[in-house]
Amino acid sequence: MAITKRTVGSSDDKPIVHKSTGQVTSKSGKQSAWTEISKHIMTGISYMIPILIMGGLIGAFSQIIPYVILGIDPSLSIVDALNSGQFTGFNESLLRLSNTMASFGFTLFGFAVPMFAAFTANSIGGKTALLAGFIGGYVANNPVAIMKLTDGKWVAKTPVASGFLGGVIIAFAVGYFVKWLNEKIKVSHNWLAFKTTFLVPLLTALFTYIVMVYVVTPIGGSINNGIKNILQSAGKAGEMVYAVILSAATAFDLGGPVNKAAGFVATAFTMEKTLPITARVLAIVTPSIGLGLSALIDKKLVGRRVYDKQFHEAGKTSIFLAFMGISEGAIPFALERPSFTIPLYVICSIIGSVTAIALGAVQWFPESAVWAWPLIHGKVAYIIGLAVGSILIAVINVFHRNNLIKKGKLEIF
Amino acid sequence: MGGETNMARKLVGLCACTMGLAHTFMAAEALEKAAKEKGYDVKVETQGSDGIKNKLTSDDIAQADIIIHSVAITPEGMDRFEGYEIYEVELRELIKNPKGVLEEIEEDLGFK
Repeated sequence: MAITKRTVGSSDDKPIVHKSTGQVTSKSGKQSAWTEISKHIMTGISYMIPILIMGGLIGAFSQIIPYVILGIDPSLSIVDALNSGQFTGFNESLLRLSNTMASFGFTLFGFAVPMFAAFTANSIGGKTALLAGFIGGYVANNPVAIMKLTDGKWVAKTPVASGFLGGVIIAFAVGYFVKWLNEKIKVSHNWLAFKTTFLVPLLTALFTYIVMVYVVTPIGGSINNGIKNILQSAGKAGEMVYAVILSAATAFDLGGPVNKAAGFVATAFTMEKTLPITARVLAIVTPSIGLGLSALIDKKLVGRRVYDKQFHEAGKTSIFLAFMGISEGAIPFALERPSFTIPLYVICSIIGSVTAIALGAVQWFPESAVWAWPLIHGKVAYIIGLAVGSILIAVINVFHRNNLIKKGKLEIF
Repeated sequence: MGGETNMARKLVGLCACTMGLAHTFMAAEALEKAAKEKGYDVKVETQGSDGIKNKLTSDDIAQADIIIHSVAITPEGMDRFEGYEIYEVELRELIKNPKGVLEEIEEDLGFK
């Protein structure tokens, strides 16, 4: 039975006595380290999910109003539609409202990664880490501009965002840094205020600044550049090679630097009418639909739940957001067990995109949402590809998790 | 069962699951019920999605004979428990077998 007895300590909470009556299985050190990490991640996820739901839904409604209710052409932006002069009176107000709603929804959305990073860090290192994690997560989404010498002049340039993976890195880095500082810096009682209100926060802020600006963001940036080059040469290698790499890069980090690089190259190609963007628009939504589905079909497939209850709501939201062309709903799933989930959805997204393209689906318009579907040539092929990719993700994920549960490596209740 | 309690012992608990929708309250209910049956004076704090309910004060914690934490996340206000000996139980365990958990803890403390 898993009962642990411990004394709550001021800085760290080590188990002091392991309950040992009867057939107690003492956990191996490695397993409890993973349990520890997973607890921190789950804390972060639990604060992130409500934001994803709120921001995602408001953002989604702001798209449904113009593109579904008012039926404006998917290739027009809301502002273009407003300026086209076709909409007057009530419809004009609706358009104005939806544009404002969109900004608000996406502002909310932007706080998902900061909240995750903040509460993951808080779970590790306490209050100081909370703030540093929040800032780190914010910078992961909105990188700090750095000075660059271009044509003999210094210009402030905003680098590519490191996305949710950057957020995870900074959350753990800063959490353990604060914890370590609190343990290592020993001061007399008189100096405690100095330590906790000045020294630790200052060192933590510097640490966050250095790690985010000089390590995490540049790594994201160089990955971004590398992917851009790979994709550009893949574009010359042929349609299928391009489709494979484009869908892999798009799916991989759900909106991070790899995804951005893919978007940059793919949009350029599709604007020049050289190569269609089909693989990318599919890969944006396949992971979200597949992972969301796996939280909903688990019981029907293996007769038991393979995700905690919280993930059922997250699953529904993830699927709904996917139809709105938003991929971030899948982030909680990716965070929960990244080592398995990320390769799974990358591979299945490739399979789905390649299937769709092989069957003749072509999309030139860079939008994944359901209202852009009328612009696709070969709609049936597109839907088949999407179904193949998502169902593969869902089924494999459910069976894999079911196996883990059977082996006792995963606990769902 | 532990019928002959001379004076009601005090038991406090803290339950919090990841989303704070179901398991938090299921665990709290299970613990409360089992503890009452065993004659404890019981108070269980829940940290769910609707915030902290039935908050434990530092007096509650100081007077408690048994402190149980059943949490899947790092709960708020951990400083209240600083220096106290607590028992950590998995939520699943507590929901499934609250009596067994209590009995094991009692045995550990020598209450029987």
